[in-house]
Amino acid sequence: MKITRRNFLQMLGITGVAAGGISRVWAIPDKWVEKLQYGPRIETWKMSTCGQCPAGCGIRVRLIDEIPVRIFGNPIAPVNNGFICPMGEAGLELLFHPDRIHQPMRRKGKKGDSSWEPISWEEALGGISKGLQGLLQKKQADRFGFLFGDRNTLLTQFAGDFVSRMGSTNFFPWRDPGINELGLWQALGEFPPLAFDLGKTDYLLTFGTNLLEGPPSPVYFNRLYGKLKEKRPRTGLRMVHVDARMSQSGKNATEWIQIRPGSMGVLALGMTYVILRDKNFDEEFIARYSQDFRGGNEDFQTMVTRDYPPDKVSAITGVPPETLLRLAREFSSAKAPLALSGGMSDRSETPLFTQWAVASLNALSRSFSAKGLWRQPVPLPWAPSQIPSLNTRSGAFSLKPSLVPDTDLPAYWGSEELPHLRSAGELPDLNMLMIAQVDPLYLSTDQKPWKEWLSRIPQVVQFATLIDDTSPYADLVLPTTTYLEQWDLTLPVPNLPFSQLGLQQPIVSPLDGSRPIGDVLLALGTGLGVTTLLPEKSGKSYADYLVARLKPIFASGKGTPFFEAVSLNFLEELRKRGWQVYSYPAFADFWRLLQEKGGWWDPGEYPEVDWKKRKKFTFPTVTRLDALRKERALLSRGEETQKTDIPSTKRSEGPARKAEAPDSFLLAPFTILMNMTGEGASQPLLQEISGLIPRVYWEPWAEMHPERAKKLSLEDGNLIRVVSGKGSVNLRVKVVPTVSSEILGVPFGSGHKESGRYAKNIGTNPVALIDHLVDPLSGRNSWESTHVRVEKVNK
Amino acid sequence: MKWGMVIDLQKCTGCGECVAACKLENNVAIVAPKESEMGRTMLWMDMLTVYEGEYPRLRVRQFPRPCMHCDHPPCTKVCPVRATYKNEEGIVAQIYPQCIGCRYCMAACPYTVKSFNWYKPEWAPGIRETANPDVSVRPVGVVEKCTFCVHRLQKAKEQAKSDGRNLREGDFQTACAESCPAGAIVFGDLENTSHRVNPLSRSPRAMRLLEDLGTEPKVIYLKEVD
Repeated sequence: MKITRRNFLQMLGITGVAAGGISRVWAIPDKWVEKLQYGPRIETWKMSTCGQCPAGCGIRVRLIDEIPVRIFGNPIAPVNNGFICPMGEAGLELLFHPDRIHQPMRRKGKKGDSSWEPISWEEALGGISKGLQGLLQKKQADRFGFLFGDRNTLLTQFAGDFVSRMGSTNFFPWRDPGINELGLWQALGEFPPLAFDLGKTDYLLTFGTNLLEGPPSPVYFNRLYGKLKEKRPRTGLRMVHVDARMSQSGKNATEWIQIRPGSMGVLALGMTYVILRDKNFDEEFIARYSQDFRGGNEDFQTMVTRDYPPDKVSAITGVPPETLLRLAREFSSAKAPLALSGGMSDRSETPLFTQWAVASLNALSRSFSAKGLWRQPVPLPWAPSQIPSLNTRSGAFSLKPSLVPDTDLPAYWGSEELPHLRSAGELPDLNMLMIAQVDPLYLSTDQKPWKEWLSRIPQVVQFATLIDDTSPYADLVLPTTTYLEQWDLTLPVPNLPFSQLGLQQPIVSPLDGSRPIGDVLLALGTGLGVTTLLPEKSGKSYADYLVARLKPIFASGKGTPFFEAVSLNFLEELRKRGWQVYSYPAFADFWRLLQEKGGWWDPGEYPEVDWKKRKKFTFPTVTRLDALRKERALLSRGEETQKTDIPSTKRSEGPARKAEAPDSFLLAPFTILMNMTGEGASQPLLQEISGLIPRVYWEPWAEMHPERAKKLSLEDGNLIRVVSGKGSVNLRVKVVPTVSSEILGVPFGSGHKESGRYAKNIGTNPVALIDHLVDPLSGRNSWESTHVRVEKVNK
Repeated sequence: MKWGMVIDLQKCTGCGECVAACKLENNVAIVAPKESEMGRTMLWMDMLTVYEGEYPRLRVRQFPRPCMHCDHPPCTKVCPVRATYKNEEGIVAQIYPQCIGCRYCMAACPYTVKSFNWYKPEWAPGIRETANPDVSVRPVGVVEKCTFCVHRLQKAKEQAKSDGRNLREGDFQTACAESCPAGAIVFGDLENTSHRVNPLSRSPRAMRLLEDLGTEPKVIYLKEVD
């Protein structure tokens, strides 16, 4: 019998009528039709780990007759304790997306055309093999590159391994930095960044860090905020959020400080000025564990007292001097103050300077000396892996056991700048580029060089679940599985104070035609005679690689598979006596438990940071900033970052030009929880509810301050045209008091040119309107430096 | 037995997870872009935002807003065909096949919790075919709203009966209460002193929306204090 929607719904016990509406495409695999008709309707549950973003939440999937119908949180997963976010809820919409590609596709027209012809897997893999073989024979392995969206899983390491086994160093990971990452790398040479325990602080100051709506783990922090907020009236915990837009973190804070975009670092140094003048700082830490604080002509103290007095800082940041004084005094008097920088401060014009300034504020104000606040990440008990790095002198990418401070940066800081590095640095012309899990033509602020670069590479191979904005520039698109159909392992989440590994396992077998990236790479490697990809000779698939990597974890005896709520103290007691919660005498038992429980973790928190055993904390000084600028000249591009006549400190003050004209605004894209990564746009649930709070559905909006709206005679809901140097878009205006009068806030996440029917040409991508501006110290692209003109559209 | 809900605004972070969980749990249709512009978006659980004061003393309050399941529901009084009624456990229930789509109840509801099905059930193809099989789909021309996940109650009752015991507190949780990361939504029997909602509903912070209308909502909010 042919299955129709009507009788299918009846089978499910749903009495409905035939669907009209968006489309009639059928995405249920044929092999399930019979099961749906005659199945016994048995409910089962499978544990896995969410792959919608890198936060590593455990999930529990409900299956009826082995067909997944709903995703819940895994109650014993340490990151999320049974809760997930809307993106996690919507995962099945990605799995059953009607526009998923089912066989490899070859581009028919010229680069940039979205016209395809299907080919077989054999033909596709044969073509790639041939290309790689040719490079290996000519000893030109370095002409092979891999651009890889790092979702904090083992697959990233495997892909890096694949590249280096091919003899190339061109592995380009793409990921957002963690909280404090830029600052702590510069000040301490610390990578990955130190973790922190939010429960231990009595004064939390977040510089643009939107813990509730962005990386590293929104569910973990929403959970924690719920607890902290409830206790706040009793504990007196102060939470202060600094940003030009209030965001959910600002709404849940005790106080929101409005600031001019890009000037957060100046505010932090303004606070250190007050703390220094009050002589209320951590003398002991400074004396024992830091350098460049005083003792030179151009030390930190000199720079701050000379360049950052309150009146000047106030003029730059827009924060009144009395507020600045109060903040600095409250912060330095707290027992365990904690300042965090990330999120929007990562996307300012001077992210590295800002984060370094915030790190210095922590160093001065007893934060680093506070008991149990900062935690040292413990490496996993497996062999250390190679870290992708970017050499700032040569622009060369490589994989190294450890990064060298000053000359190396974590590779993904500069991945948005790849095409530029390609023309300025030592990157050879590539003959083949693989792209997986990232859509640079949607995410980058400068699409033209990307298009040119990808057009010049003869063989661009993309792994994709849906055709996305980058696909038209690929020569070959390979259909890959979603996170619900493959094996993988989520690595410990940056900034969280404990170690965990979340197991991703196939909830269903791969839907027609799609194959997991790991297995495809393995097949390619094996075909080329690279047999060293797997640690064990008997291995045949990526799952075997994963198992082999887990063996040292089992052998170390550390940690345990996730367990039901047992108090950590009790567990510590057990461990002292040599007992465990679970008994797993052999690896097979351990492996079975992992699949059953959803992952492994090391209960108990990371140890406190031992300052005696590490590099000294380096304070920013004018000399060092200038030296770094020279050192990293390669990262700066264009005249906007080449203003050598401006002194370093001056260049750290955010956008030089204020919006003077009544219709001029600074465009400020922001991320929302419903679609953090931009990839959520392919899922209709997320597209619909992304505008839940402003009550605008399926389209982005523009947030404007009431005073500015009044001057422009705009009312809530009016249509406006937003014009930048790169083009114009129409948006609905939301008049809200939660933005500063200088900015126009637009949510990031929609406005895809492809990515399936629910995303294609729906909404607007604010990032595409932005002028390209690079921070020469870190290679990060700014999101907050483009002025736009706003005009009313009369419909 | 009187089912009710307490939402602690001091804990709520306004993340919207309850909204997503509710939509998926109850097969609430996703309305396409063009129609949503006409205000036809369907949310059984909504998030209300209220701005108080101006910067620097600006406070933003967010309220998750399900159906209030009033003890004196205005909607049931106006229904000409008894398609909506209050059952013996206090849940304001609906009988979809009986509804004639006159929308009197929507006009009568002061909390605007009801949505009208303007379209035949239609969802993202694929995913919605694996909709939650425990919840029936509403046909076109029918009014729907939050049901306190009554299908879960039925399941829990059957389970308890087969185990030969009474219903326990944790047996029946609504999708929103179960999914709230901040633990702000607590659900249970308001009349049962051993349930958490009972003491919470009598907290000095407790308040109800539009209390002066005399609808006696069974969704109780706990005010923020800082």
